[in-house]
Amino acid sequence: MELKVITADDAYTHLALIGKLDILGVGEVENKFIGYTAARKKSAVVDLSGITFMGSMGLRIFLSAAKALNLEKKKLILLNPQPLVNEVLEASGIGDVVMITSDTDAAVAAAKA
Amino acid sequence: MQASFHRSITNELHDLEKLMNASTNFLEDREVDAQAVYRINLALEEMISNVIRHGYDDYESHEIQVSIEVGENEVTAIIEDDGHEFNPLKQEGEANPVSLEKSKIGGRGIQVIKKLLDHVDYRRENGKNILTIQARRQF
Repeated sequence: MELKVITADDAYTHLALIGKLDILGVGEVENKFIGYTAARKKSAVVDLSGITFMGSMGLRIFLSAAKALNLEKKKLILLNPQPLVNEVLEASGIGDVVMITSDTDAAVAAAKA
Repeated sequence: MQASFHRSITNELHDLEKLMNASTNFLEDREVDAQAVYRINLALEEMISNVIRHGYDDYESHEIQVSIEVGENEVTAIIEDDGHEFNPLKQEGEANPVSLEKSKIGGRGIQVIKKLLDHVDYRRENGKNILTIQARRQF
């Protein structure tokens, strides 16, 4: 499991997660992910196109980060999940409170807004 | 080619990872649809990790038995453990959140499994939890 930092400037954070976001995968990136989202207190775009599997622990770190950012009036935006990962996101209802999009420009614009 | 898969794992998360890799290989070799492979693995991870984390009071090693059968139209997985009596079907799961402020972080796994798997059945027998999950083989 890998977390890549694409952008981390004063306006927003843009990350990409790559690999299997199962229980062990979450354990490998969780601290770094919290550091670049909740702890950084900037709106964050998280590119999920490289995620091949996500279970409920993955949902948990996204919701946790989104809640923490919301307290700072910032957003977490999930970008471009593969169809099977998107199916889990939809079934969880997380899309009702967290923006999920396949449009990179829209995601970045929302993060900078 | 065998249409069934049997594994016994211990209550360690690393064993669960190995089980999921083995089940993926088994199902892919039998040309099960990727969506069904994903759903079965999602259920195995959710249900077995719950057993590993919450099922036991002691620090002893316990066996969890997993079998998977590939039928003509469906894939069936059975998980047996000797942990506390626990019926996941009785867990409400979290309703869809109305706002980030009010949404709870945990409790979504069971809800996702109930929505995505075609059949989930629980029974307690001879001191064991026996959970049967089923997904369509093709989508």
